[in-house]
Amino acid sequence: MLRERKLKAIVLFGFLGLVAAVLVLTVPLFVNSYDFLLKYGKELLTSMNWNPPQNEYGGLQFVLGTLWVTFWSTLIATPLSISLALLAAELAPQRLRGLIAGLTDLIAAIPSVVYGYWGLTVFAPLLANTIYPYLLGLSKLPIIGILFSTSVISPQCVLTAVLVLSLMITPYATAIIRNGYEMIPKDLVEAVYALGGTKWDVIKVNLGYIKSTIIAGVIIAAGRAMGETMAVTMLIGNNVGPFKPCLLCRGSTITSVVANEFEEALLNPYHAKALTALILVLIVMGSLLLAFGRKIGKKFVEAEIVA
Amino acid sequence: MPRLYKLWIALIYLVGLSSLGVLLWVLGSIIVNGLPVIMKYGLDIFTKNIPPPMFLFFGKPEVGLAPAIIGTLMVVGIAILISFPIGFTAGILIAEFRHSRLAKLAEELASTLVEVPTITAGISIYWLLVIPMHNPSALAGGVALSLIMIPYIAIYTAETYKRVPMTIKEGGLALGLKYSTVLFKVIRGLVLPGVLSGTLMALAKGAGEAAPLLFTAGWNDKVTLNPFDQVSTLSVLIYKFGFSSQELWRELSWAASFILVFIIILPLVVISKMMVRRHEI
Repeated sequence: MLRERKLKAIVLFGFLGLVAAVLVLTVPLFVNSYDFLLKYGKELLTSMNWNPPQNEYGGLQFVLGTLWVTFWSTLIATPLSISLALLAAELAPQRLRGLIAGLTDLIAAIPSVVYGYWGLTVFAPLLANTIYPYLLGLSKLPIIGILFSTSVISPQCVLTAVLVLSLMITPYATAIIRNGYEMIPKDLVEAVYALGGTKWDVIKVNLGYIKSTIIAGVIIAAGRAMGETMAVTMLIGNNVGPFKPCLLCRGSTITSVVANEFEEALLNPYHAKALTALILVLIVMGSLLLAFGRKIGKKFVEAEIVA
Repeated sequence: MPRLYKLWIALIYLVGLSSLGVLLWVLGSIIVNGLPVIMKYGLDIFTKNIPPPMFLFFGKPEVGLAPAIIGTLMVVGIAILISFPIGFTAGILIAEFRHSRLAKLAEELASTLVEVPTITAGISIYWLLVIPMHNPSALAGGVALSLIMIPYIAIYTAETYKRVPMTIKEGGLALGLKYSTVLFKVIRGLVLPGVLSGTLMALAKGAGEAAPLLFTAGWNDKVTLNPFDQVSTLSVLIYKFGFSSQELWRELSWAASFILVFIIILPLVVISKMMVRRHEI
């Protein structure tokens, strides 16, 4: 086993291929943004004044927008995915469980650009005609009113992006939570029943048992939401003005501004480099999130691929 | 309080089933809006060129999606040619030398590749290939996609090889066979479904990605088979035409969504899932 040159060469090829892939993915970002970062780096993360034709590159609103959208879509997706996972693993009649699980897995494979297009043509107009006028009425309330205060209702706004995004990431989180749930030892379940517990008691004990898996699933889903590009770009309204903690306003994220502006940005070298630097910032944000997740969840890598 | 918990369970049913309902609504919309367009243009959708932007001025042009369908196949094909050799061999490293430091590092690298947002590949490859080549191309798009597909193949391969019982491998070794012979010949039947399943999942994932291709693959309303030409893909077409106010473009976006989801991605995913289910090791 040890002296097999051929096999060693083969796996070394795989290793070098992975190294090359990671280098190809990251090095061009550094090379093409370091002079921008030296010149405008501080402005990028402290100012909200984004005006590339005047060489003003304040990008804080994109960072905050990304966090804002990620926060809300994760908040909405969490109860949805726990409920779906419980249905598929415990509550639904035996015959339907496989169907629910299979369907969520299939739905997870729908590309984000398709969700975006569906959101744009079907979902957003519907929301703008039905729910959003009521939400606008809430803008008079103290404190939470700020979430809904906007002058005009726009079908494309932060809330539309958040809702579609939470739908998109729900199947990922569901798959991870369901996998964890199905691996709970049967002894545990039987012990609860033996003590006279109800089905509800079993669910409570089980959810406690897989707490770390649930957190891992939610964080992986949040990571997806953070890096998601197409659906967000199509739905968020793409307003590059200063960040407002608002749901009915048009907004922007790092990915949406990059997808929108990169092509035209090539006319102005610093503009393109600013967007490249924003991608680096996004990668750092994602790594911080997942490093936090990895501390909690054990089988993180496998969970990532399950999704 | 036996009543209260029933309320909770009812709530879980409500939330779970309604989110499933909305997700099915997405699938349903694709059928309801996409299928009629395909019926309307018939086979032309699969064989004719995309109407040029100025079509309104030139009478009735041909209406089809052939360049985007071929473009998708080309880009994904190039990507699999790059990502399979790397992903498969890296997977073997991760599974069969799992206690070595190299394998652990490889696992780290693979998970890094999964975690990075997919638009990153588009921007990096733009600087790395599109600028020096002065042009977006199917090749650049394929390279960008391969970065996203590599970790899928690597981790599926590793999981599959890990699941083969040690006793079978030892049986082969005890007969005096080389380790490589055991891995690539003796247990081939056992690992083939798993590796193929991972490859199909990677293809499905790649076919649906738009973000890495926006700035790397370019756009073409005619069919081309030259990897150095710009190509359009179904995913990018859905995005570009989706914003239009022109009815025809929106119709084509729906048709492209239908083809992408129901003719390309879902069949790949279903076959992939069936393979592993039937050949559980």
